[in-house]
Amino acid sequence: MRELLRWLLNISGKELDNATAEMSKDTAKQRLKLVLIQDRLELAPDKLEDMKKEIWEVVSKYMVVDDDFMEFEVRRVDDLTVLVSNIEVKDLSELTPAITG
Amino acid sequence: MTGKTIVITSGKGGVGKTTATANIGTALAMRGNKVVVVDTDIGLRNLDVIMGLENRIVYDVVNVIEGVCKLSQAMISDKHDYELYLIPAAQTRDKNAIEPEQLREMCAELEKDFDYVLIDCPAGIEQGFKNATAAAQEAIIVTTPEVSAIRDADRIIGLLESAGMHNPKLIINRIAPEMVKRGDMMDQKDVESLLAVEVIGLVPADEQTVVAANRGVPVVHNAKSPAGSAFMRIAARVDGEDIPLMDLEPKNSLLSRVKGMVGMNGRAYSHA
Repeated sequence: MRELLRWLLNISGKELDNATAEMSKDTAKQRLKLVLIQDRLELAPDKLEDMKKEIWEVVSKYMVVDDDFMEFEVRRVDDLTVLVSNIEVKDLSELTPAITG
Repeated sequence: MTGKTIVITSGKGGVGKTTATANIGTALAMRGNKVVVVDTDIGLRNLDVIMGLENRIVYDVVNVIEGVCKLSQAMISDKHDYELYLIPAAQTRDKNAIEPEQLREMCAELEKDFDYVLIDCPAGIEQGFKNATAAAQEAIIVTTPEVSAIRDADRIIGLLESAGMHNPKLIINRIAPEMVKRGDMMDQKDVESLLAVEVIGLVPADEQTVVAANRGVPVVHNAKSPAGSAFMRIAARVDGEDIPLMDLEPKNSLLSRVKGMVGMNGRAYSHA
């Protein structure tokens, strides 16, 4: 009987968890994504943040870009390690004259 | 005969390299191949106990390389009636007792007589790893669906890549389908999105693997067990057969749950 009760509680508890909290595998994936970038680049976390910030600053000098959306991905292509960065461009018409000048 | 040498590696310890080596080796032999498995975990040998051959060791891989014995003298024949041999690691030496080129030479010699030479690589990325990977043409990386094992697997992929060994294959071991289903364990897709390598096998967590290790009889001998049939499929894929990966949907019917509660559940994966 106790087993049955525990089983019933377990079910409802699980449904509650699913509704409120992020699935733990997604947390694992998010954490791994960052760790793998650091490992592949052999870069400390604070340096990675610095780099991200600097790249964003450079790009934002020339175009209007999203404040939050910036993705980093490090891929291996044969012998090469490739850094891919995605930044969302908000408005291309607001390119500064610096580009034409 | 020109066989090939495949290294089974992982980076992280305890993810199932030795179990995978013993089972893939046994399954390849069951399929009619001539197979030799080589334990290169010098100082921490274990492939012998997983295969139940620990009482038959006379010579080891270091003896062969140092010329103390002939290659054939160090090969222990498996108890079954197919062509499967073990070359055990030395237990009283360390990883520096052999050089990568020496192991490569030994495997080149073995490739003349065998279809498959499987190398059980030690954990870590030091000398033992360098020895084992230098001797092989192909690599199989074993991981579990956990952050630490996947991180280490990624390191290994990078190191193999820079050593010129491309396209390693991945085995995801100890998958608990129930946990995957409720989102508490990464599945094949999740792992593939993190590590850009081809998955060659999915192995469910299976109590029978532990039982098999206790007995010294690799779990592929128990063809009905989930892990046993998973390793059989991996061997088929290694052997060039194009078969789909194992379906790991949990058998989650009400009946099996009830059976599980009253201890009648013969299912391999427990409700973790």
